[in-house]
Amino acid sequence: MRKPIVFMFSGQGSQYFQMGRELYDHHPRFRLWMDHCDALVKDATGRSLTATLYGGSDWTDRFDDILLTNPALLSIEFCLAKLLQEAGISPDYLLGYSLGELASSVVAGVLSLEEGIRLAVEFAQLLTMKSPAGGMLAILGDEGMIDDHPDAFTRCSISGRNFDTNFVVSGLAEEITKLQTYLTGFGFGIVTQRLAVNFAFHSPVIEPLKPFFLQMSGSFNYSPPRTPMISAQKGQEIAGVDETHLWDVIRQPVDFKSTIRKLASQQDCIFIDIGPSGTLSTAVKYLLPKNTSSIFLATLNQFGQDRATLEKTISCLSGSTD
Amino acid sequence: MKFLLSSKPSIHRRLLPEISYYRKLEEAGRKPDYVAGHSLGEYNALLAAECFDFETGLKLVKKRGELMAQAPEGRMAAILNATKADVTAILRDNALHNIDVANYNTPQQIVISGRADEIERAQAFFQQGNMMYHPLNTSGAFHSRLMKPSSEQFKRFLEGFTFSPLAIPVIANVTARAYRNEAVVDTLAAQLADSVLWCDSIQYLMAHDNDGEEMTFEEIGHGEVLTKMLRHIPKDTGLVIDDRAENESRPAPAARVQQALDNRAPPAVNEIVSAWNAKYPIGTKVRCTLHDYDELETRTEAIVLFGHRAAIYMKGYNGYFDLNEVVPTRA
Repeated sequence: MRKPIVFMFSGQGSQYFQMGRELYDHHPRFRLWMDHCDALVKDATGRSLTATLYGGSDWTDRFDDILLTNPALLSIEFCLAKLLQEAGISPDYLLGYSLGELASSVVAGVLSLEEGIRLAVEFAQLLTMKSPAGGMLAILGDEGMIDDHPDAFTRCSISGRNFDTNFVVSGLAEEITKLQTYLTGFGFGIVTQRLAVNFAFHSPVIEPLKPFFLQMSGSFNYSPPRTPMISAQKGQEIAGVDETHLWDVIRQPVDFKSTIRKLASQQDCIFIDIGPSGTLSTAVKYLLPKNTSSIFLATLNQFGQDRATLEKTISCLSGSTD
Repeated sequence: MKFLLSSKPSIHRRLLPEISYYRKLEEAGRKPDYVAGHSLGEYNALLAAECFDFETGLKLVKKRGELMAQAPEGRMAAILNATKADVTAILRDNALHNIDVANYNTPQQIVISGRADEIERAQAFFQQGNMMYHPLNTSGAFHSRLMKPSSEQFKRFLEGFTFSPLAIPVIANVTARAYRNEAVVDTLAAQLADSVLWCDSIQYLMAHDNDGEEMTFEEIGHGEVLTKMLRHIPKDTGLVIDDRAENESRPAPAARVQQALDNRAPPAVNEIVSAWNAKYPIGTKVRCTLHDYDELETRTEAIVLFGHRAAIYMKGYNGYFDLNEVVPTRA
């Protein structure tokens, strides 16, 4: 029996300038779909996605303008999923991590691409208008460290559990800065990474946005998914998506750790990271039990060689999809 | 000022755009000259033209939905960047015989509808060149032959109603011409299983501006899907509007467009293809004159694609090769 294929869609923080650049320059189908997305993003924002993403030459600038990162992530993940599907690789499950749940909803046909982009943009506008400045910090270490440093963590909350030694916290921007200074500055040897996100997703900080978000996202039509969907917020397969689920996705912490453990314990899977950074496939690597027959693959990463990475994934899977 | 009602409500919203329509009427201070609606939206157009009252409209839409849900399972997909001629040629050349063209939305946007397995199989053929395949999340194969039995049942249901003469001309999806009062039942019933000739309907309306005044279109209801489509529909300058002939039967415009495209196909392509097939069997080793590919070997006979292109498929390659760009290598 062949293993089910799981497309994993990553969330805010996995984006960067120039993501997908090599494919955009050399893969005509990727370029075609990106240009298609670009036209829709232009309709929704008045700005060009591809001009922003591929315009400059600096890969290291922080790409954190949510008005573009939101539709950019959705677009790039949609295009990567399309590329794999066009290569004959069809997913058995779509697994979304945070904003990645929006991309998985579009790939599942819950929302059309156009609606998905519009929702991503309207949500970003809402955040810029109504949310206080926040931040997110990825911490390399066991979540038990919170007990060792209780005072440092009081004003931040856990927003994501990725694997045993990697979790994310969210809070007001100044609190996140303080926490990072504390963890890295006092000789604890704790490695942290500030995410390119200026909002405290998955935390009480964004709670006041709830009525606005529900009203905005409630005006969309949600169809039943064509492909089974797994939510990393719910930790399991979900029957469908509506505005209430999307609110939970934004407000509640993400438990990628238990979601993958549970799934992998039920069956061996092929996990494919459909995000631009390969962060989810890395997390899966740490989550799979020893002697597993599950495998994990990435489609893009920050270190170039996009075409080679993609081709490796495709050739790895051709033959396993019949 | 002329304006058009063209609402495309979701199944949930059913006849709600009616409210926006009355608001629009108030603002404009006069009735539109024409109304049209896309698929289910045609009911809003008929309502605006006082063909039936709101309550009757709801009954019709409800019954229509129930009958459509009873039809055999099917799927739909949007094809972008392919003309109707391209789409029909690809369906024919790849033996996708159980798929119909459901919507002819713009010259570059066609929706196909039919048996689920074939719609899925069709994907591979619509991802060449600039063509894009978008699966749609409909619960059935609307506007396809799978809807025939539902269409017939719906006709019997419609016969139980009396419809009023239309107060405003309504452009029908299935004819791209104004509804005839005596054919409301037939036209509404046919719409379930026939193509939505939206592009032709808009071009027909555009051709009415011969008094020098441009036709103005206004979308009523949720979203602006139809307004966006409008941008991609060019005026058909060859279209002659003769309103006196409106009541006479004539071939549907889509059929005429198809005819014109068929006539345009140069016969030379067929000759090139037959000449190739007569000379070179499947498995012939060839070389591509445009790009450097290793050891090409044909895996199909040469075929005519899109009605004008001589094409052939190679082993180990997904897309088609232009027959003019390959030459047999000397064995």
